[in-house]
Amino acid sequence: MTKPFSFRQAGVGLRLEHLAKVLRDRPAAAWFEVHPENVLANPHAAEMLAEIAALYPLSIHSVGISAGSASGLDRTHLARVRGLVTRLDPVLLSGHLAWSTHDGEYLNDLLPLPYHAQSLDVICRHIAEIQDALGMVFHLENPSNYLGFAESTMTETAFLTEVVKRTGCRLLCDVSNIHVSAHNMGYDARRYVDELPGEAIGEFHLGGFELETEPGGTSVIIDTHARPIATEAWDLYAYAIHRFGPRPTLIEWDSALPAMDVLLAEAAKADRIAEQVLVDRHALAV
Amino acid sequence: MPSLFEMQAGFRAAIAGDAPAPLLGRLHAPASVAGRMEIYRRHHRESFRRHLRGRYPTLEWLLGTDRLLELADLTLQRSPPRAPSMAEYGAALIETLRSCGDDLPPYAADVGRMDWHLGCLSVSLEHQPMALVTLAGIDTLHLPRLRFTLQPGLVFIQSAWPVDELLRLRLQDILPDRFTFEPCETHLQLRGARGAFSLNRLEPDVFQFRAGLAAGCSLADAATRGTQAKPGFDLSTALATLFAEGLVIAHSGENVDV
Ligand SMILES: [Fe+2]
Repeated sequence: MTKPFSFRQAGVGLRLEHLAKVLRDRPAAAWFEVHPENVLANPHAAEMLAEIAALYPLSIHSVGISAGSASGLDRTHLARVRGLVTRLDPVLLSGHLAWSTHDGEYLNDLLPLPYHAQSLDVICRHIAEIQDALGMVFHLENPSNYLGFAESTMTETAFLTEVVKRTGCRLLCDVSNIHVSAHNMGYDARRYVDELPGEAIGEFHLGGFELETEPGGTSVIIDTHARPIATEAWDLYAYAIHRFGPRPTLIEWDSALPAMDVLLAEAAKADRIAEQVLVDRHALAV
Repeated sequence: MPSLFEMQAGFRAAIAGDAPAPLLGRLHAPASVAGRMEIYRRHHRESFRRHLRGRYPTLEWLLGTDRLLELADLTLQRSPPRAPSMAEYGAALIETLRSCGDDLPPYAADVGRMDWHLGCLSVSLEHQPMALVTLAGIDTLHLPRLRFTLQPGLVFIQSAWPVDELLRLRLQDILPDRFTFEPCETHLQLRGARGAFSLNRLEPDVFQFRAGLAAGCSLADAATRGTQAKPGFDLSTALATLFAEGLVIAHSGENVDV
């Protein structure tokens, strides 16, 4: 990490629609996260991003690296991401505990994995290769779940803990995803947080989601990243900060994108919550 | 227990094709598993539909949203993306238009080509153009063998229909009461960079000359293409205009032995 990186302030996701405005207005953002897949075939965006990289710390968050694909990593894609990493000199690198590509077909989604010995071997092998190829520590993000697999032999938190142990990667704890998965799969979100290996968490994510009623009268939360962060996610974020202490925190917003000011207001709210939790924790300790 | 590869093959089939029953039995949720799978199916379908609508705005305006979405679904089935960079996906819809467009206007594929290329070149870069004077130092014997690299955001489209008129109508957002659209051999130069684009009609000889250079032809071969299109093709004027418009960014071939 060559750039000064003040992770005490939350960053925001930077999407194509905001690139030109960020260059022009230089908003008071602490740092930005970018999806390499959005700029690899967009030379204009890559050019603007290279200028932004000289002004702000950047995090590279790959949504297409497909670390959980049994058919192997797409090495051409990995090489292109490496090119971007070289060009942008990011301070963080992350991706998902998921798969997106099967046998060369890209499915444009973060698809779920069973948690067992075979999937553990696959993802550990791929994370090791990604870290070698990109020369950076990978932050593995917990997914939003809508269903589980009968074949799973371990919990998601046990699986993540084992991946960390085997690869030396760190965790990107998406607090909103924990709330989404806990609601959808019927488990306790705080207990999930308690089970995470806290020392391995290198980043938090917070994003918006939407509640839908299902045909049987149950409800499901869809991880849309198209809305402000809900109260339940802010509460869980406060709980995670209380438990693990502060980490670089990122506001995700991908569709129905609002003005940059709205994103920065969400980031400021994350900062206030983190600060309040730390003040409270300190008060309890003395 | 199926291997991870088999499980992922089944999951792929369930969201992108016909759901095989055996996979559903291996999944669980505190609600309908089929309903939860539908979340993935819907995301897969809608995200590609949204992407392809964004890449073919004139075609959507021309054919209507429902028809474009049918074509998008068919394209996704026949030619799914092979890479995780979505901006590169979608050219296959032009092939869908060509192969199953019996009920479509005969110019639909050309409108599709125009939309696709405008999207690509508006995100490209414009490089420092080369001045014509740069060629002054080159031995005239070598000139015929020269090859030029043109600006990356440059595409040449020939159509039997004036498809650029459709684009202009869409951009003006005016639907005339009556619009006559007749076949007319049209030679278009599409140029774009950094979010902007322009579209010009060229004379057939100039079009063939420039399209030849863009395809990698030598200056002599491109000039032949120009002359074949129109016997009175004027190479020196065509060359001067090419440079004056800033379309050439590099040259090569002057050191190649005959
Ligand atoms: Fe996330």
